[in-house]
Amino acid sequence: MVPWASWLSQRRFTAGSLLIGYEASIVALLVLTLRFTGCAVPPKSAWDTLGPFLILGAISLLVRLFVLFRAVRHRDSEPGAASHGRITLNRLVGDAKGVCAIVVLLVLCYLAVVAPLITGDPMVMVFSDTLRPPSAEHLLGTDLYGRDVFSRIAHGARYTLGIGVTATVLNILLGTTLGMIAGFARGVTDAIIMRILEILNSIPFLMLAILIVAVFGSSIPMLIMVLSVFVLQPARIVRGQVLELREKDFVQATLALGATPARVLFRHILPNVLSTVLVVASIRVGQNILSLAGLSFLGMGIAPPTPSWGSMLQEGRAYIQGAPWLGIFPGAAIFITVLAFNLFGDSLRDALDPRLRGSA
Amino acid sequence: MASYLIRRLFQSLFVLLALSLIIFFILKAAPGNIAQIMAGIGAKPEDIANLEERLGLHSPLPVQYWRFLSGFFTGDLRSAAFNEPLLDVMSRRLLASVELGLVAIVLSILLSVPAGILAAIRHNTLVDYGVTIFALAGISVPVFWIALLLMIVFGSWLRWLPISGRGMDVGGLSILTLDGWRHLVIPASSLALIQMAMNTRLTRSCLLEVLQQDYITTAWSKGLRERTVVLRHALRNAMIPVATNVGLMAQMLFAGAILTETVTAWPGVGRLVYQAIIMRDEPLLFGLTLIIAFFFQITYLVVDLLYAYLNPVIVYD
Repeated sequence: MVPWASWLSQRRFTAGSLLIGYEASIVALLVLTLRFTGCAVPPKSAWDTLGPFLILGAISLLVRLFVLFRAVRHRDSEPGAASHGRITLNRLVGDAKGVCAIVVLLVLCYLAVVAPLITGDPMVMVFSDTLRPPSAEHLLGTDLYGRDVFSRIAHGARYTLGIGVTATVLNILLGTTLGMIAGFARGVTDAIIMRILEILNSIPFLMLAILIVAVFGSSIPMLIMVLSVFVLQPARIVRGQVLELREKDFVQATLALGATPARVLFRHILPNVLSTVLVVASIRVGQNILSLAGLSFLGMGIAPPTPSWGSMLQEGRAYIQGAPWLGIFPGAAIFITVLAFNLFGDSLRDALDPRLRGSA
Repeated sequence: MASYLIRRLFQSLFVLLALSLIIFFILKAAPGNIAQIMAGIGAKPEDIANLEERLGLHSPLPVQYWRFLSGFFTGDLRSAAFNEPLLDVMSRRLLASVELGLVAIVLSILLSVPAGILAAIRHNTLVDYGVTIFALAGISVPVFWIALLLMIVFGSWLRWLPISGRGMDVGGLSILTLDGWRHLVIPASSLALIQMAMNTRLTRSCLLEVLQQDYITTAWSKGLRERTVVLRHALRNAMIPVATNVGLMAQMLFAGAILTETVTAWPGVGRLVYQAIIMRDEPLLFGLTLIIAFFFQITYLVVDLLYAYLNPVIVYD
């Protein structure tokens, strides 16, 4: 066992308090950097100003929820049949997983927010400095136009996280609503919604996404729209749960008491599907980031010269023989981000619903 | 059963018809048209008009739609960019896609099922954590990045494998020649890795669930060997969801590999879809969508029937 395992498991809320401390320190750091350095690059659009705060807000919300649910889980957990060592090991891995994920995500968010302060302009082309390998001056090397790869990755994180999180929030709102209506109303409404899902499911998502973006042009709102409207997997999951919940005695009793369907849906059914929705949401962020990167890689995502991880890979692809760092680092950024969201989702699921543990 | 099949058939027909309408209107809603793209930048307006006339772009929309749809069924639908019938364009690519998909599927099954079993029977050990983390990494990685990394390592540094393409023998089967196999390694293994990760997670979680059931406890208490309990008693039931997942993987054979095929320049259907969209080849795209959707509907039906066959508790009425 790892030496610090027992230390960690003895302090039940260590992970939670560590995270709150970490979050607070990041906010403080952010305020200080903004206060004392000023903005190195003037913001070019509303997205540049608002994006970071949206990201930070969304992530810190997730962190709070996570900490809350962990606390609830620890309160409810009873050491039972398995040996103490096994429980400790389980909890450690569970905790370590979630803790790693959150730390990685917070670092990424911090990087995204302070990118203009700690790196140079991602658009500046220095033609005397093209295709330089990683060095002290350029941490991750430079690209074909002499732009700093690290700066582009750090700025790319803004777009990736911003679009990924926004699209997921919209997607989850839409999917949950549709799924709840379909599962609760049943009959014709259900049939119509299910047919729509089937139509969307009958060709690969990426094909539809490429087609729509190619036809209507790629812009950030369009990408968010495509990623949020045409993925309706959350609706399917929610519908299944609502169909089941609807037959439960407490729902039938509430209906018999004369409660309106809206009240039953929002007061009695929604709280019961919320934990599933949260888990699906955290996994969908990762999937959305992968789709976004795929679209950008095909030249259908965020348009150059705006830094985006997918299009950086696309540009670097032709130079993998001479400048492999162009093919390695942006992909690694995508991988680490998506992995962190998936780890977070796994950990959240364990914390929220132990019955689902280990399921795919 | 017969009524179920008929109902499913009608549902599929409805889905295909609705999809064809949606795709048609997306294509027509686009600014510009294929004639302008084919004529090129700086073409004379009368040239564009001639081209539009030849491609039938002046007819009313319902007439154009009907021409597409009837052309699809009679085989008259011609790709505008390749100037060939749809089936000729598609059939050449289909072989490459099916070949790539099959190798990837076989590879992923061969690796994922044993890995999932191992993780489940060694639950909460280092082996389990290793497999779980590997599988989680597998579903988090962009498939085109894996292909790029393999290209960098095996194509550029070690120079063991060709970087892209399908080799000299494009018309035939790659799996018949050594050169073909060498070209197949990078796209197939990057595609397989993603599928493998998903299937490993599924195998592990299903087996874990089954292993907790009473009849497994009975089997243990009869004093059976681990091999018998796991492989003969538990695995059969645990494999039901896995088998249906493998059925869904078959969708990859037709168009699920757009990214992999594009990054490795593999001349398959996925890449054809991408090219058709880029070139705004409306007839080709219309036909491709319908064919792909048709295959998808078939896989869904087969998966549902397979599920009922493997799990007799489920009966479709």
